[in-house]
Amino acid sequence: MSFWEKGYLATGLAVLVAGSGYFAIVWKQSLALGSLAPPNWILFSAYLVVLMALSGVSFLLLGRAEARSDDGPEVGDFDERDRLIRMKSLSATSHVLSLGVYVPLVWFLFHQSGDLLFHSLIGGLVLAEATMCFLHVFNYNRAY
Amino acid sequence: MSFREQSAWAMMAILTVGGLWYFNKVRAASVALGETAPPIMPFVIAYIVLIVIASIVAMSVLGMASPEAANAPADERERQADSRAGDLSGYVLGAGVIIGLLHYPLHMDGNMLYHIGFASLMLSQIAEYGLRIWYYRTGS
Repeated sequence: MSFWEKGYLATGLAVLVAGSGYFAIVWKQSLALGSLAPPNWILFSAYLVVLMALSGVSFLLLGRAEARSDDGPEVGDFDERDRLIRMKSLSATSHVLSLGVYVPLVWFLFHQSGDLLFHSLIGGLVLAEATMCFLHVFNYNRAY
Repeated sequence: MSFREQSAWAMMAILTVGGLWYFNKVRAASVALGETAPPIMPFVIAYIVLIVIASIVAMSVLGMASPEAANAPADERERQADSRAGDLSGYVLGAGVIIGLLHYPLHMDGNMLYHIGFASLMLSQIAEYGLRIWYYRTGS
């Protein structure tokens, strides 16, 4: 498994962990309130910080581990195959992201709740980000 | 100019005109209401129908003008250009949605969040066709 493959796998997991944590807290707050919890700046910022910290730390740790064990190319080198995989993965991700935005927008026409639209758009972003990471891993395992 | 570039120009023009028409209606409704207008179903449906009909007409006219080019599959360079344009347009959409998400907790205006999300979708589509044209022309 290459450095980038491991990195994307770790980031994908980090996105899912941070996203699940965010929605678990929103769920608890909503139960306590008896209605859908409104967006909270502190929670949203905490989610972003945790996400960046988890993905940053995973790439850093992986980079250190690879630097100690790998005699091959420089760690973090981005070759032609990496570029092709990145392009294919991001192109497919843009469709997932579009769907992750379309669905909440259409749903909003029926429920008219800004809070629900906010949370569902975050769900769409989490889904797209995780898909992007796992598509990278999937494409790395295909013979390009 | 290749068939695909002509199609991209046509789609970009249609989406721009459709988007301007839609948001002009939303702006007028918001001014009349004195606050951000909620999404108005007839406008949304009219926008989608307008885009679909205009796209079919434009593609039919372009296809009749050069039937061989219209039926030819995309070559490797065009596939790469389409892929890169799709990739970058995703960033436009993502950035627009994040702006909407940052705006919402400050103003608690769900209708505005909807319109920002809808505008982001439109802009990302326009950007995708614009980037395709750019890559077809520059070959990068």
